Amino acid sequence: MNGAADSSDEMLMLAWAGGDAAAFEMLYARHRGPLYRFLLRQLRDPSMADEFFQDVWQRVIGARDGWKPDAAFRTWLFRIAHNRLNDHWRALKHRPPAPADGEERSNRQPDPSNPERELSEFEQRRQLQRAIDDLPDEQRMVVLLRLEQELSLEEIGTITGSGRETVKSRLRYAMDKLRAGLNP
Amino acid sequence: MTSQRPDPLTPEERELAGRLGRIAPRATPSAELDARILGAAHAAAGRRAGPARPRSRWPALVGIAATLALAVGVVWQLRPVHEVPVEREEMPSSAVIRSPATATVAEAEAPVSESDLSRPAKPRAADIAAPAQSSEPRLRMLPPPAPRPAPPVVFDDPSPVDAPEVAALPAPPAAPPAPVPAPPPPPAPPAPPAPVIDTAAAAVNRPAAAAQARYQADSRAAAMQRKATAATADRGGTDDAPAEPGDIDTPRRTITIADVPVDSDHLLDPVDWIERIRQRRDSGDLDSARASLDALREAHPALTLPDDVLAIATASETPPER
Repeated sequence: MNGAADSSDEMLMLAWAGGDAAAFEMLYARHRGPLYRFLLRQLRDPSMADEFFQDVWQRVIGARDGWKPDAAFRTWLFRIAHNRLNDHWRALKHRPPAPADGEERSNRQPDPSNPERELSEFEQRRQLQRAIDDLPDEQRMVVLLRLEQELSLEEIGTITGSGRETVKSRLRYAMDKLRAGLNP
Repeated sequence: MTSQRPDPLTPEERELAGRLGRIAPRATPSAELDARILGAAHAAAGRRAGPARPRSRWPALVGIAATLALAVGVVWQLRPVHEVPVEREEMPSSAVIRSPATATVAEAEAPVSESDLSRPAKPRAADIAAPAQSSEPRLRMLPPPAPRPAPPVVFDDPSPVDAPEVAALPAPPAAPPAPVPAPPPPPAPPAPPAPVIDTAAAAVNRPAAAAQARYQADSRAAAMQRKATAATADRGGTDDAPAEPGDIDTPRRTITIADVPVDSDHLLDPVDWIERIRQRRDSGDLDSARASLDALREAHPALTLPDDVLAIATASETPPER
């Protein structure tokens, strides 16, 4: 290890479990963005994403003593988030409605391109968002972990508690649907 | 983070990922949220560095102590069940076997007594556990009046408990106590000196063996009846089952899952912990089941829980919707 910046997540987690608060800050800085976006994409509600984000990190903090580097920290972190989301959806018994501000957020995106291209990309983004919203929960979870977090099939399987072939199958179905949604 | 990705994104996946990244802004948690989380982490690290270490062990120690106390209590409750009745009932059997004159009676009774003694009969356990009721079987074991007082010499090792009972046998051939039905009539004539001991032994042991056989038959019948009652109670018929006096003090019925503190659940490994939560739920104590489930989630946040266990938390989260 050349320094704290080069330390693996697992080393940082162990250091923090030993009382090194700076190690946690570094770990948090690495994963705060991806985790927050993952939750926001799933929940489509910034206030709920805030709540879940804090809850997941609280669980990480609470479980530091019993943590063992059996799996990658990132896999463990997203598994906690996955379980938390599952609890939420199980309680609701249904997914929340499509985002009310999805298109508005997209429109806020600065884009220096010309109006025709802007319109075209806006339409494509809208189609992609709609296609993702239409996916079943399991497929949406897999495709977002894959596309946004760039996780391997094994890591996604560890997070979702599914086998590699199951993940592969869900990803294939999800990609087919996204493809069909983008090229109707 | 720096490891090679075993499954790199395909070009199509990468293109979709790029589009996906443009859908939402590069959203990040607010500074306030960051501050809250980092503050919690610093507080946790501070607690760890401070003298809070022994505090986290207290629940474990208390749980272990409670478990040990529970185990000792159970063993203490069960201890006399296995010791006292065996000694008390083995005495007549050994005496019968030693007496050649009662060989036929002993042969007839031996299988019954051995099988009965080898297993912990419920009625006897209950009767011994309840001191007020132990007198009745002892009275029923008393042999009917013998033609002459049988010398305790017949018993090789008269116990201090049984010797007074044998010595206190009513000497005159009076009518036997009511609970012992139809004792055999006392043998009439005194025998020659040589067989005196045998006859005396037979006189003492034959009614004793008959009384013991009746007692054991009664015990077996009562045991079967109680077993059937217990089976009915296990199927949910506890309310309908008549409470028998001997069963009231049975420790098995007084110790339930509700007596086990939730704080001690964390001593279990996750699989056993989940089973404990199910037991709490099945016993109807949903509050402790939820508390234990919360503790399990806190201790093992990445653990994937079974649906039926998750249903406990779900019910607690959205009671009005269900």
